[in-house]
Amino acid sequence: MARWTSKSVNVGPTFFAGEIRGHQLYGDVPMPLGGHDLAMIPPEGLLVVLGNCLGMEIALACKNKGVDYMGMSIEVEAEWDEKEHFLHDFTLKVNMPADLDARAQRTVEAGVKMCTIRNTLMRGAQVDLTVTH
Amino acid sequence: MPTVSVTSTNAGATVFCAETRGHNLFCDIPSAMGGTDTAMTPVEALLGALGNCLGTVIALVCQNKGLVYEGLSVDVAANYDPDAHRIDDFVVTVHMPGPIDEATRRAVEAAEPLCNVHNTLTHGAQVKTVLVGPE
Repeated sequence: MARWTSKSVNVGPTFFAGEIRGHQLYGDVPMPLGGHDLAMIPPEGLLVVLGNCLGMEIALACKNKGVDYMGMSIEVEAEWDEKEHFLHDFTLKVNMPADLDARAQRTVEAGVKMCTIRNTLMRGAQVDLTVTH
Repeated sequence: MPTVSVTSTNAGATVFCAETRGHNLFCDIPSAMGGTDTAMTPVEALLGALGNCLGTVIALVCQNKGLVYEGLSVDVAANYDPDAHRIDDFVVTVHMPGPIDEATRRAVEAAEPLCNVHNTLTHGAQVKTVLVGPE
């Protein structure tokens, strides 16, 4: 079991910078919500992270098996419950650059099962919060 | 019930770029895993998205209540299960810039249920994958 950590710092009224291993992820909210729209809102970031993770796992599986994947894309959709403030019913559409035979299709399906974000969302997770000065 | 959507495109061997409303997010994997480490991994980005989301809603609630929050930071840690390929047991630590009085504590408590990423993770969600060939 490996431990992963990140730090998000407030760098503007509603602008946050998350940092891990020297890489940064920014989040903001649009102007009607009180921000400056300098970056994606974090729930958009969740969809993006899911699409990138699924794409990457499929790419790795295809690379290992010699299946053509360069230029593939993933469309991610989810329903947003505005009252309860959560996303649900995610749909991922995997667009491959070439027709897939049975072997290539199995390779893509194997990649899908390796997607950590998909698996985490499908099972749900515990989140504990503490506040310090 | 509004639908939100994004598209992630393969932009290099293991580099993916997702775009929504003109904002981009790149992900890659470290060299040791076969990538080029030009960006965060998606798992790292999930932790960052959770920290940014909680931070943002805390900032908005504090703004509305006239409480000091500028410079607050949010640490997120989680366990990765390499066998099940999933993460769990997120621990979020919110560092407020000033002393934590009752009003500040209540503001943070009020903000937590407003965080979409937090709520989606704790609820869990159905994820359906559809595979399509070239059009």
